Formats: sequence, structure tokens, C-alpha cells
Amino acid sequence: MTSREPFAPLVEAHQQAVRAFLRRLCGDPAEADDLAQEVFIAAWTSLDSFRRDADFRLWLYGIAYRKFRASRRAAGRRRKREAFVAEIAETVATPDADARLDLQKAMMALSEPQRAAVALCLAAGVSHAAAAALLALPLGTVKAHVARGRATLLSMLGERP
Amino acid sequence: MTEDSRLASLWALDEPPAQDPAFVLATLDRLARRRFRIRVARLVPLFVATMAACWAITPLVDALLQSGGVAVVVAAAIGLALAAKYASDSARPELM
Repeated sequence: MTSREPFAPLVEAHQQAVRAFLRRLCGDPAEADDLAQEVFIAAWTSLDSFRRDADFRLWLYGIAYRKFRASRRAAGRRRKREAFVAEIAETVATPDADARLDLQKAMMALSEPQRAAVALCLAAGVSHAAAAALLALPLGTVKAHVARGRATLLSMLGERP
Repeated sequence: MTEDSRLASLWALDEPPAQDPAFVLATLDRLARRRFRIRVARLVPLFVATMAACWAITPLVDALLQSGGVAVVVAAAIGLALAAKYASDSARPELM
């Protein structure tokens, strides 16, 4: 793409992937959508730095991960997310919502790098090598995060009756 | 159901919609506001510089006007207007 092409089709094409990735990292859909909007604004602002031969979606994932890390450093986010999870637990009782909440809780039990690796490699289908480059981690570390994260998720989800 | 397909089906429950005009519009709205702020921030120094230049060349313009050099003044004004337009054009992509 070039910097003169309209930006709206890019938002349309990639919003689902970016929002899904951030939902798995944050656990809070509203916060994830807010961050996703910031990701697209940052992408638009720094479009000149995008390498034309690179994968645009991976580039967006990279921005999203950095935005997420920055948001974690901001005070109050964690309390907000925990309040959101508690609110869902109290008000929602459908089987789908229960399953979603279980997955969300299991994801939140992972460390941030583990969660990011699982969200990228298992949920979004990104290769281990691409995830390693994106997260600035060694390939072996990413593979270990994915394997351990997957085991933790399955173990926690398996405990549900 | 395998373990991986179970995880995939759980993730699918939390997947945002493939088409979400409300999200796209909200994002473009925030982008438009950001672009407006960038443009204003870019134009303020240009405006100040232009005002300073106008103040500096006022004696010269007065002298030109009094000596019948109206065409030169008009040409300079057009040149300044074109330069300002060029400077305000964004290198960023259009939103829509």
C-alpha cells in the first residue's frame, strides 16, 4: 500500500484481527476496542515507517502489543479489568458467556508474554518466527510460551464441569 | 473434539464481527480529529512566520505600491498563498 491510499478500507480489513488480538490480551472488550482505535491512529500517523515488503497485519499486531504494554503501565487498568470480569460473572449466565468467561480467566492467568504468544500463534495463526520478531523474543522462548500457555489453558478449562 | 479445536471454538465466541461499520466510523472520527490537530499544529508556525515576514516587508510593499509595482505585490501574494497551500497538504492517506 502507499501513503496516499484511503485508510478506511485498511481499518475495515484489519479491525477484526486487531480487536481479537487485543481482546485476548486485555480480557476487556471495551478496553480492547479503545486500544484498537489507538492502534489504527498510530498506524496512520507512522505509515511512512511501514516497510512496503512487510506484512501489514503483523505490523499492526506489533503496534497493538506495544500499545497494550503501555496501557498496562498506566495506573488503574488492572482494577478496571478485574471489575469488568467480576461484573460479567455476576450478570451473565448463558453457556456461551460462561465459556467465554472461563477462557478469559484462563488467559488472564498467563503471563503477558505467554498471553501474547498464545494469542498470536494459537488464536491468530501467526508463525512462531513472526511472533518472535514481533514480540522481540527468541524463537525458543516463544515456542516455550506457546506450549506452556496452551497447557495452562487446557488444564484450567478442563477443570470446568 | 480435539483440544485445539476446543480452544479454537472458544476463541471464536469472542471474535469481533468481520464487518463493523460502527467501529470503523468511530476510528475514522478519532483519526479525523487527530489529523485536524496535526494540521493546526503545522499551520501555527507557518502563520507566525508569514505574519513576521509581512511585518518585515511592509516598508518594501509600501514603496512598491507607491512606485506603481502593484503587479509584483499581487504575484508575491499569489506565491505566498500557493506555498501555504502546499505546506498544509498532508502526506498522510485520505480517510475515506
